[in-house]
Amino acid sequence: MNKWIWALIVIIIVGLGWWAIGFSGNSAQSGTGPIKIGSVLPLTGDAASIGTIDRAAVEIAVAEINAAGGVNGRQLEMIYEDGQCASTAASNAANKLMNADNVIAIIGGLCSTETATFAPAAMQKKVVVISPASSAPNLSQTGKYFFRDYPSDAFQGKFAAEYAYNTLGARKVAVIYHISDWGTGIKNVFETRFKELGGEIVSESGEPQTATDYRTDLTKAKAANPDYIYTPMYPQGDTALMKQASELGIKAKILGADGWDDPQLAKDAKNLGLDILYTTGKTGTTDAFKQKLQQKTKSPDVPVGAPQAYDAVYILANAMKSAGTDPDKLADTIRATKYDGVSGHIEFDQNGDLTVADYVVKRMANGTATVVQ
Amino acid sequence: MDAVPQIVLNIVIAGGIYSLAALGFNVLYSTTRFFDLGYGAYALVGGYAVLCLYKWVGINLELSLLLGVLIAGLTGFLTEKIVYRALRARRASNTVLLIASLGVFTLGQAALAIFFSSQFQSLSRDIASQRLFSIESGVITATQLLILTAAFAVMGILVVVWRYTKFGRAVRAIADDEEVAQTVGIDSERVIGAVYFIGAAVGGIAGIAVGFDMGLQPLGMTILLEAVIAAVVGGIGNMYGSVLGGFLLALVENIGAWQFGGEWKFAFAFAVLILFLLYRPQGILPK
Repeated sequence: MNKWIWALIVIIIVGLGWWAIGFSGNSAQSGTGPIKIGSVLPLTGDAASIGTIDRAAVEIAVAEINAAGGVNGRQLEMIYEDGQCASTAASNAANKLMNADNVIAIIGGLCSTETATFAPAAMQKKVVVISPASSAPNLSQTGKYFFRDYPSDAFQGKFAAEYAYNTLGARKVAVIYHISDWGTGIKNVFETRFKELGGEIVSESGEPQTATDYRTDLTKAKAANPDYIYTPMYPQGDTALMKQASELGIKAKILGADGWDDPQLAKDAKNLGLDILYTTGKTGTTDAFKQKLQQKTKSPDVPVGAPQAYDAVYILANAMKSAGTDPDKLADTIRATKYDGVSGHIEFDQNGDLTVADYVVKRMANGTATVVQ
Repeated sequence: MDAVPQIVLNIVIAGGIYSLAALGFNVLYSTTRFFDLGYGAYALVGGYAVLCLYKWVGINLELSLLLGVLIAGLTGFLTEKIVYRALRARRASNTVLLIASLGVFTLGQAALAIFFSSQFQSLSRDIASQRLFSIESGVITATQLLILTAAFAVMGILVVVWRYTKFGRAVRAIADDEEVAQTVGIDSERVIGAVYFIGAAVGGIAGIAVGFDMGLQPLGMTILLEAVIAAVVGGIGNMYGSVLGGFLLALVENIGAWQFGGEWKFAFAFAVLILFLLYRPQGILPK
């Protein structure tokens, strides 16, 4: 009998708690209280080093906006949740933000995996999502309330294909890629465009992100005698792949994607005798922003997504000034944004993607990577 | 260009590492009869110990290797003493031990990630200055030849020790029936402790081999699974079986990657495991 009474008490308390959360959530979005905005970034796990700095960028922007009087007199209240660069964690984080905190918008996620898991639910709940770094091409069709101020890899794959065909004169390309939202996405775009141009994909091999043995993939590629090996892979795989390619005496050149943009890789590549090129986003940011960020984080790094996260807060705040918190009006206003931020000029297309994206090609030589003219 | 010689060499190279991993797992499982997931962590400890001693402290290679193997063995020995023995003394079932070993595995992995970061790190100091040997149109490095030699040497030593020494007979007696072994005067606690040291040390050799040949990450699941598949397919309790299983696993994985693409590698490996469990659970070479 006692058990039942306890169960009843627990149910009542949980129910009351739920009601209270819902109640406070509603009041937050009414007239004059602070405007609640969520953030889903990896604060622990693989990409934590990037996520925590991007969070600092968001904090700077929010502090500046609030110091300048907020949005139409209302302050911004950011709630930070940890997406861990993983699907389950990101989904839990976003559900908490949407259902318990009733945020009107979410800045994040960083990893494509995070964004891909929670964005569909956000579209249903009419919550605006602005991602500062997720680049998987398949995010383009997410929905009306989704935006990103970081270029889709649809651009990068296309750029790489055109660069390989037109500038490098490659006609036969072998592909080794990481199976992930990012790797598979960029590979598909590359192959489609490269074949359109008249090139040939002579072999293709996918590996899980954790793979360290690429010998048979490389042997297969080598036997197909390609001009270039295209490798949209993450850094740890790149390290193993470079070493094994060198051991196997691979003469074909390697063309990577922005997963190769890691200073340690260039150091490791130094004596391997390989010619490694890779494409990466033209990252420019203002010195003023760099200084602000470095002051806050006490670290010289300006990682991927930091300027974009800062800009995302401003884009959202500016849009709210004229559109208020109504999700449909807000989405339409953001779509019409023309904004010059610390990450460059930002305009969105119908899918919420950037309309323009600039890339550069870098070559690894003597322990560093330099831009190829 | 003909890819076949290189594919064959790739199989041999991977087979050597899988054999080492399977031998250590076989030693542990055939004696204690419980599925120690912590094995993945002991292997990593071996690799990271060498990383620390050889690359950071700068001790010479031979001594680093020796210490790395000893540290891995010691990790296994202590884990058995502190965790598994205490549980076994309370007559814990194998399921409880399995869950405890999952804890050991996760703890080990997390601790390594904290101390050494999740960054991918190679053990070799200068990856470009490797000696290469050409066979037909294929290439094999000096390190890989050394790993292969180590795999067969470890197999040979284990076979001799298990078959011809007093210690080996004691181990086999415990594997058959621990209580009977105790009644005939075998100190099973001490023998199991020694078995744990040996098994984890062999796992450490596999971890070091992976670190030199490919690179280290605080992720032990891959090496654990490869060890398990190779040991089960080859036959638990049979040292030749583990090596045979290791090479068979490498063959299936690499043919899969070659003919169908790298994404099929693990699918093929597990298909083989399931087929064996269904139709020949005692493995290729039974005890």
